[in-house]
Amino acid sequence: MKKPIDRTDEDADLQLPRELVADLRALYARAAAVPPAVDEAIVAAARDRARDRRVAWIFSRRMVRWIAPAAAAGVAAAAVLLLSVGPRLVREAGAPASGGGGMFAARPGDAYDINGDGHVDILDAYRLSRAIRRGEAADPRLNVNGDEAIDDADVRVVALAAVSLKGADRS
Amino acid sequence: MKRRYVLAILAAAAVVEPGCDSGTRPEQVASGPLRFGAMDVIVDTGAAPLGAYQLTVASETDGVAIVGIEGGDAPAFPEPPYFDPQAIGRNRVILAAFDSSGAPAHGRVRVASVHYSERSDSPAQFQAALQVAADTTGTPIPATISIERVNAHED
Repeated sequence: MKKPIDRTDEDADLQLPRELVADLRALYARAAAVPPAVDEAIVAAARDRARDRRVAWIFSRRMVRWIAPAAAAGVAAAAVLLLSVGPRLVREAGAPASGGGGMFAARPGDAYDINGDGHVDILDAYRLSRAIRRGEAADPRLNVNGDEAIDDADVRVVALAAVSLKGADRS
Repeated sequence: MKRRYVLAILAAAAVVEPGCDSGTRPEQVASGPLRFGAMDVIVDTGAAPLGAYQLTVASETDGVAIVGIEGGDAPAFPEPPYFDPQAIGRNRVILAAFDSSGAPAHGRVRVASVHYSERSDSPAQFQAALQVAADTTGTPIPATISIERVNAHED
């Protein structure tokens, strides 16, 4: 009868020949040489991929979900600015404020210097008013508001120019 | 979803609102209880008739804002004087008026009253400066000016 072959790992005789081991090591232990061009191409491809992933994240769903709220916030901010700054801008552009009804510094100050003393104050309006009362306001230069008549409307224009804070700030 | 809208709008409002009014008004700076008061503006010309006047009233106290201008004593200055409407809400105003009644006042004349609000802890301090006073011919005359606090009450 034939004796069975023992193939267990514990078999002390299960050793490769030294020559074979040496040949195998020589065959597979040699490092594969990677050309520099290939190496750089791999690195460049990796960078491109990373950049693409960042761009993709910006437009990801997480960001898209904030676009509508951000637009709403922008509209709200614009509304706040319009409501708070708008009326002041309109007033500073020369439109009369409520209760004013006058034209502040709409013309050079010299045009209102009725008494010719070098500055505009209530005495200019007073002089014009007295001239109108006495019927002595015939000089067309006294028609400071440029309408058809020299009347109390002209007096008011001069008086409002006299008390204008803008005019006072300039002087 | 709604929470995102609320957060975004609140953030925008917080960023925009503090800087939107570059011309900060006095009453928006100071804190404290809001009080209202008034003061009479008095011009004294002695024996000379007061035909016209122009003066400045201002306060350097934080939190003071002019809220209204009232006329003075009849018959010479019963109507509110001329003033720049942009002075309302600020701490400085120029007042001016002339007599057209034919019955000019003389001596100590209340020419106007100034109403104001204040938020400062201490009472508002005002200064008044007379720019010009004139008689009924428009000729400048010497005069003095004073202001007298009328009352003050909390809102």
